[in-house]
Amino acid sequence: MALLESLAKRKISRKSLFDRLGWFAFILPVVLGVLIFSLYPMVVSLYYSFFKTYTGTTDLPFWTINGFNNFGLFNYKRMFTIDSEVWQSFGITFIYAVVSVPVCLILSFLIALLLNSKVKGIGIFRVIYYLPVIIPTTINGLLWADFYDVRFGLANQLLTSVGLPAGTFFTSANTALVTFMSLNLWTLGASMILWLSALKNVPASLIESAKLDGAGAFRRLVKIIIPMCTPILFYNIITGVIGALQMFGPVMTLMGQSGAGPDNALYFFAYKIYNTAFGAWEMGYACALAWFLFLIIAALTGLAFGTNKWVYYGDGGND
Amino acid sequence: MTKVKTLQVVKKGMIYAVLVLFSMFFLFPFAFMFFKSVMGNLESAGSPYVRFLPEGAWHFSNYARVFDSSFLRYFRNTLIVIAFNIVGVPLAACFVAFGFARGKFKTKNFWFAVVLGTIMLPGVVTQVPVYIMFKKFGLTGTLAPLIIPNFFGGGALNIFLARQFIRGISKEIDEAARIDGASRLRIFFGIIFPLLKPIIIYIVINTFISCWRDFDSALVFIGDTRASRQWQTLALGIYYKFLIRGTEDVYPNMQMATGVIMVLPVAALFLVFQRRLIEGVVMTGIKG
Amino acid sequence: MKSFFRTLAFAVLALCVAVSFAACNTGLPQAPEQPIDIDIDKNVQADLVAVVDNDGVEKMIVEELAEEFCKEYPNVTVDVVQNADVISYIRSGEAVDLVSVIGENVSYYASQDILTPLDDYMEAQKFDESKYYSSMLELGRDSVTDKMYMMPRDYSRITCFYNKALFDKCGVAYPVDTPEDPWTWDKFVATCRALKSSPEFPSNYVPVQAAMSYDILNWGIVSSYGAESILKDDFTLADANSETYKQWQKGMLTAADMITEKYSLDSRLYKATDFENGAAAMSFAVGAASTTYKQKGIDYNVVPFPAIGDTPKTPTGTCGYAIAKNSYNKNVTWAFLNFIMSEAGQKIISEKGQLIPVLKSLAEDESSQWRKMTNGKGNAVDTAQFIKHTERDVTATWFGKLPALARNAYGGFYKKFLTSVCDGNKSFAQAHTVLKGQIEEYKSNYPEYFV
Repeated sequence: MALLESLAKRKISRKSLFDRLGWFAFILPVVLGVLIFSLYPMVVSLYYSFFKTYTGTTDLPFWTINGFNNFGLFNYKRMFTIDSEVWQSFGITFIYAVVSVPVCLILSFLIALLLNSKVKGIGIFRVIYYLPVIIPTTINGLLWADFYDVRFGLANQLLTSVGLPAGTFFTSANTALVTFMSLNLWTLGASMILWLSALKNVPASLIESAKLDGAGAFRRLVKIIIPMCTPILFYNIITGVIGALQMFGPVMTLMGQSGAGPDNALYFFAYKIYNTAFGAWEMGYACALAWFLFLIIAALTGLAFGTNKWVYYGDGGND
Repeated sequence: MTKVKTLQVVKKGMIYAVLVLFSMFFLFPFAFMFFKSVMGNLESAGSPYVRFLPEGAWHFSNYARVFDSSFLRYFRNTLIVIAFNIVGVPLAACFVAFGFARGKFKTKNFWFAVVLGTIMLPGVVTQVPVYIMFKKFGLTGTLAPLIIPNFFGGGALNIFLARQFIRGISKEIDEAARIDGASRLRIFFGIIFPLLKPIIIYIVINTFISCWRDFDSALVFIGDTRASRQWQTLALGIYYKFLIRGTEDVYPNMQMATGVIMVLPVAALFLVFQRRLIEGVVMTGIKG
Repeated sequence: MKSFFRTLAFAVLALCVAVSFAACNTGLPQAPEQPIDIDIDKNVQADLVAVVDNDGVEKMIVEELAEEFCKEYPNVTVDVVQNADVISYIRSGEAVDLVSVIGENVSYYASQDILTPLDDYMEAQKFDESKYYSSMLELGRDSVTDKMYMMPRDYSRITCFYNKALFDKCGVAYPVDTPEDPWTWDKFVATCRALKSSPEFPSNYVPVQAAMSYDILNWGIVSSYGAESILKDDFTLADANSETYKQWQKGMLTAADMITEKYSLDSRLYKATDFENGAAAMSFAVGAASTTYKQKGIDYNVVPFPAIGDTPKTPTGTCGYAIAKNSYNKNVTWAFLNFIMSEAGQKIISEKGQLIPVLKSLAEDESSQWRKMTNGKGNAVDTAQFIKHTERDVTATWFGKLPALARNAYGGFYKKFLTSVCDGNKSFAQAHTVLKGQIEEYKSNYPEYFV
């Protein structure tokens, strides 16, 4: 191999830069991408977070950051002591993540169990169940805002027609978050698909032998099927929590200009960051908030990987 | 024996009943959207009474009303973004993946871990500096921020998938070519790339769908300023049209007709390529 | 591997150092000093940018004005930008010349140092203020510095629109306002009751679309009971059981009763689209709303705002235009502003935008085009009702001469106060205590704002 390679190299007398880089040339785009769009912004974001204001001055070369002024810790001080919205929005985001992620996981698992039954035409049902996932965010917002409209929405019409009291949905701070979580019911398909494939990976022989041993359906579920599905569970929990911490589009498209719901009941943390950065143009403060969020996500991810002993990786782990 | 059989039939019947019941639940948003889109103006606004099915005539003309000049502009912009990305993303992803799959160099595993690590990196942290960077280059308010980053590798998940796929291709193929004196570039473009067709199709369709529905990054990088109005994409333009600006034609029937139009292409693509797409989702889910 | 890491670390470090050195201290881009010139060359070249509220009608009006203006100044272009948050837009660093401002925001915008004072231009131009409705011009003045910042675009007062079709359907008599039979609050409430109790009135409809916690509307009601400002001279809140407090309380209860009786809706259920969708029988709105109502085909007519008590007031507040501080074309922008206020400009505003001109002669001239306004069904609108009882006008005076820097914070507290009382979360007395506490705390935290 090595001989062949050196022979091949010798053939080309004038080596281009591409050849000089060797194999590295192939991954160069992504290396540059990571440096420019991930690493540099990460570092600079931390740096920006120590500045008070930013104004969108454009007539300057890109490597300067004019417009930022007053170096200091006040953004962090403001975040932890003055700005009560930070804790409010963090609390809302936290409740949302803690409630909706597990509930969705359980419900989607149950649906996956249903879809795993061997009946004719099950493929069509799988597609149907997945379909609502593809509705674009903007349309989703318009759609559900209309459906849950208190006075002119179908939801209250349905409730009152069966004799139930009308709901307040997005118009009351008490019900807004629950209503918002209920929208996730229609997008259960996303994690359902993953569960389904995990269920398929459970060896039939294992289940058969358990059956022979006299294990009932519930026992088989708890002792064999669920442990075999833990990698998916792990993946779903991590992506679910990170997704919840970063979400702002769905609320904005649902609530319109206010974007935060009644009495800020849907003021998610990522929307707070968006609002600080691109509404008030307080870029320094937005970076401080973003770093705070990043540290939390990093801690959570670290925690998840540190305690993943319960995850079953089969024999020899996954690639 | 017959008893067991009837029991099985009853069981199957029950499963079907539950399946159909849930199907109605999951199809409800689509039905709701469609029926609302063909209602009259006031009828769709719930005036005087709220209905699910339209009463009287079905106003298919609502769809024609959706296609005004601004809608066509949004549509054009989305198509531009898609056109660049469905070329750039698969090309970049496969190119990089080839390096990761076949390359032999010291830092390979390190960089691969770094690339996968960026999946965990929350976008909101990098958002502000990247915005400022694009702003300094005068590129905010244009489509460039939605295109340029994707040429740098085309996304970690796509790289990962393509790498898995390339590893499945026998090494003998490129070694034979190597002996014939073909360069790595030629091996990639001449031999490997054509073999990646299944994964490329997956990436293309996935890219299409995500560009079509992308709202967050369009909102941040394009926004609503004097210069950017002409570059707003579909998802963003609709947001500003219906949710921020009020006085235009904003009856729910128009909103939902727009919704149907926006859902149709994605739904069609999904239905045609559903098996491949679901496989891709599953693969990134299980391995990632 | 190791050497590579070292290189990488070094590169990142160098990057950070470079970035740190590059940081320096600037604010918003400052436009150069521009000597006032009211007589600019007609061939002057300029590309003006006008920022207006996110509203199709607003945009249309400025574009119509610009078209006419640019006939006179052929080398000038005007680009109209819509944005919900003008301050945010200017802070993003975009170039702006003309800014659309709501009257009650003038002081705040002025305190943010984003507008150009207009007094010198007006003096140079010999601007005749007596030709305009004075209550509107006053809205353009920052009450603290006493400088003029905004030119009011139209004479906009809250009037009572009513949907004739819905009144007919419910068999309720149309509202009227004549010297013998004035349109009073009691009559208005009786009309609401009649509508609400009609079997023909759908249950999800509402008798009147009115945001009772909207400060301007609310102040119209409160000030009818005699209150002149809710603050004392030292900018703290009027004490409990003072005369102002009692008047204020009466007004707030009048407003809150509308919601408890379900004649109008609280801030969460309120929908600005009710009247135009035919789901509200009446609407308290400014003249500008008639464009939308007409577009949506509503068969409406108008009466003045209902008279409350012995000193009835009509809530008034307008939107106007100002020159941005960082404009590079101030003189051209002033020329445009002057054109807007001229008879030609006012004609365009009243005819295209269906707004009531702020130029008195045009507003009161019965033969002028805007007086022939029709509604969504092509029927004539009684336009005389729009400019009736001008002596009742009351503007956003609830904070009196509160310094501009404190206005935003006070405004935030006050809005919360209004919603909590009108939505029925708190009684007036409770909410008053909260507001008083907030204001006192703010005042002690930021004494420098009150110098």
